[in-house]
Amino acid sequence: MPQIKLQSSDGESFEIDLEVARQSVTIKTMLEDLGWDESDDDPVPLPNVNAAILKKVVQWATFHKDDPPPPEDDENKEKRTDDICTWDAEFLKVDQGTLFELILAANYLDIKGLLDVTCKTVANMIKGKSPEEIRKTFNIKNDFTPAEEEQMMSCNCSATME
Amino acid sequence: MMHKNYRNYLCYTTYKRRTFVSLSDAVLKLEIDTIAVQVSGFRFCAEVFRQLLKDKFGKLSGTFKTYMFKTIEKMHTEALSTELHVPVIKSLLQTSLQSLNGPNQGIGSKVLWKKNQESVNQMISKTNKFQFTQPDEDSPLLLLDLPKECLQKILLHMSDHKDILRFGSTCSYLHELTKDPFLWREMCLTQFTEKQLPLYVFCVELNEVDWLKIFKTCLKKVKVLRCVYGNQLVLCNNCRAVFWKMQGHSCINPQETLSYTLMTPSDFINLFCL
Repeated sequence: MPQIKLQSSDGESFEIDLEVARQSVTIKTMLEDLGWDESDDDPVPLPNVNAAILKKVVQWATFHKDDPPPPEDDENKEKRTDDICTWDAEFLKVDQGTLFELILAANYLDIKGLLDVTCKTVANMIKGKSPEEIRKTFNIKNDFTPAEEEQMMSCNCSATME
Repeated sequence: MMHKNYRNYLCYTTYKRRTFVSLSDAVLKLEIDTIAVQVSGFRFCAEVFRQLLKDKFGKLSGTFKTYMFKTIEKMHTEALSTELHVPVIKSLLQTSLQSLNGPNQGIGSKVLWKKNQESVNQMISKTNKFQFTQPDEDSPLLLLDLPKECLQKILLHMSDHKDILRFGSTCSYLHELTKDPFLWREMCLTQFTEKQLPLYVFCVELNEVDWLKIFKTCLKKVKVLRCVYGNQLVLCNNCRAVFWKMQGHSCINPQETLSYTLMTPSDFINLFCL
């Protein structure tokens, strides 16, 4: 199996299977543009991902390397946030900072599966919580004036949406 | 991986509407206690228990009740440690308490009854004391530091409009984000059928439609929204086995293409003579 070297923002090199790396659309396109072939020994620089996060991403991509490719068009698909497999659930038992870094990395590397599962995890952290609980969980500052807040509450309720 | 060895499924080879298996045997066979503590199966199992507690409590056997409360205890521990599904477990515990203090009190062993009441009360007081972990003050990356496109992506995954509205009422930036017409268009198209939506929305340009308004109008008409679960019980259309969608089963008609019908929690409960 051909291998490829990836270099994190802090200079650490990771040698991984090409198949694993190609789950990232960004890397895949980069290799095609560069005309990369197996004899190439130069590492692919990933200036937006540090070693700790890249290690996690590689771990995720290695586990999921045999997954069927994600459907291109997922419009009108039912929205589910908790269809997360046990392995992913364990994998994402990390602190908030790491979770958000993984979202950034998945977004930059364009790995749909990882972006989906991390975003779902955040959505699950929001599910069922009151606004005050959400603020506490994510350190969000309430910047509404009391009048604005009251107007918003009545607006949400009037539509029998609460 | 777990889904390869097909352990937990229930053969349901009768074509009549009900199984010959008792509810206690069925939940053991389906390993509800394992599925219930997984992120994907938590809400489905909680809903099965909630309906049983609310409507069928007097008809449940002692064995089943013991199993159910043990499972609820496991779910409670899991919810508090992962900090997920805490609101779900809160409401399940309230239902448990109501049923335990309800009209069926004299039935079954007094000792067991008291034990269950005590354990539910303990769980409730633990949940009340529970606080969500807050990020460190000096955390380098907070939710609101994520680029807009990532926050929009998170919002697109939310299936409950109430979650979106509550999320949007935390601060002005998120309030703006949750007004995104594309988000409400997706909500409309996933929650309502084409027949439920007004016809004109399909005839004009997408951005000419006030999708939030349409959502509110449709919601008033439809009232109950579809509930989607990550993992849930399904009924095999080839062999009539009941199994978990994410775990699969070994079909006695393996040559047929896999085809199954989704079961709601009440569909499952109705399989049994309660």
